[in-house]
Amino acid sequence: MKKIVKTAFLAALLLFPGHAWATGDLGCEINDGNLKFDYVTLVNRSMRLFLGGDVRFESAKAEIPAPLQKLDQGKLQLVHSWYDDREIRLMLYAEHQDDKVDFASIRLTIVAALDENDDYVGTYRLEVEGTRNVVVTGKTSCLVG
Amino acid sequence: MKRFVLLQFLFAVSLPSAAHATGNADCSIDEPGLNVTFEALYGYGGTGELRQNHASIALTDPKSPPGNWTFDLDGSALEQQWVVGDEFKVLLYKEHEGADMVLEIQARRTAPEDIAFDGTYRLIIGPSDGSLFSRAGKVACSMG
Repeated sequence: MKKIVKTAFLAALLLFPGHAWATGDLGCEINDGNLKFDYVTLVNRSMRLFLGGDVRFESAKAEIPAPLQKLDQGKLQLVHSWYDDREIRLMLYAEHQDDKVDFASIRLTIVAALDENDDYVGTYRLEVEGTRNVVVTGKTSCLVG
Repeated sequence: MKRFVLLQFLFAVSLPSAAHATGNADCSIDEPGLNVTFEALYGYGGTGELRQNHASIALTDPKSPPGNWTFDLDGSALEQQWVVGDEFKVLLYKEHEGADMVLEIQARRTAPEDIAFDGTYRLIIGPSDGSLFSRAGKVACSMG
């Protein structure tokens, strides 16, 4: 019974303009020649996002410091996120500092909106700070399922 | 005194770049039947995410679900945040009195470089009897 009530509540929320209210996967992909990036996360019914497995950043344009090219959940932080039935926004951040690397950081911001085909499409901005500071921008698409 | 201030300044600018100063983020809803305060710290100069957030809710709306709806929310209630540039968006979620409660705040900076943000809130409560309570209105926030 409790499950039915909760389901009814969650269904009602769907009628309230705003958030898509379901548990599932949320993924964004970038592959435009400047940056290759895949990101999948779990999203729960209250829309909290949980980072998935390892994430790789590959870019021919931006010189991404080696320690930041492949990041696990412990190192990559989802510092800002917003997900509803209109848009997906993600800001991922990681930094590194050791004997070899004075300071390096990577920040990826994704903003995607739902289009007429029910696809989330938008733009990304990659900011790399290290021996050379680089900003790369382009297009991205995201899926929720 | 001047010397002390100068020393403080020199100490501050000598900090490594990764160490960022913090500011205070506050929001308040002050309406008949609903009073909300939301407070958090955020780092400026870095990624700027909210930390150590805390909210107090006093819902006395006669249409509110049965039970005591004056309660506090700790940091675990912050489900989503987008505090970037001129936008301030937070989503709080908590199970309370056997119901699911969602409070969404969306505000924008009122003027460039201003610390004031104006926006709207939506409060949704799904009690265990399957009914739905919701209300919406205006919210004022500041980040300083």
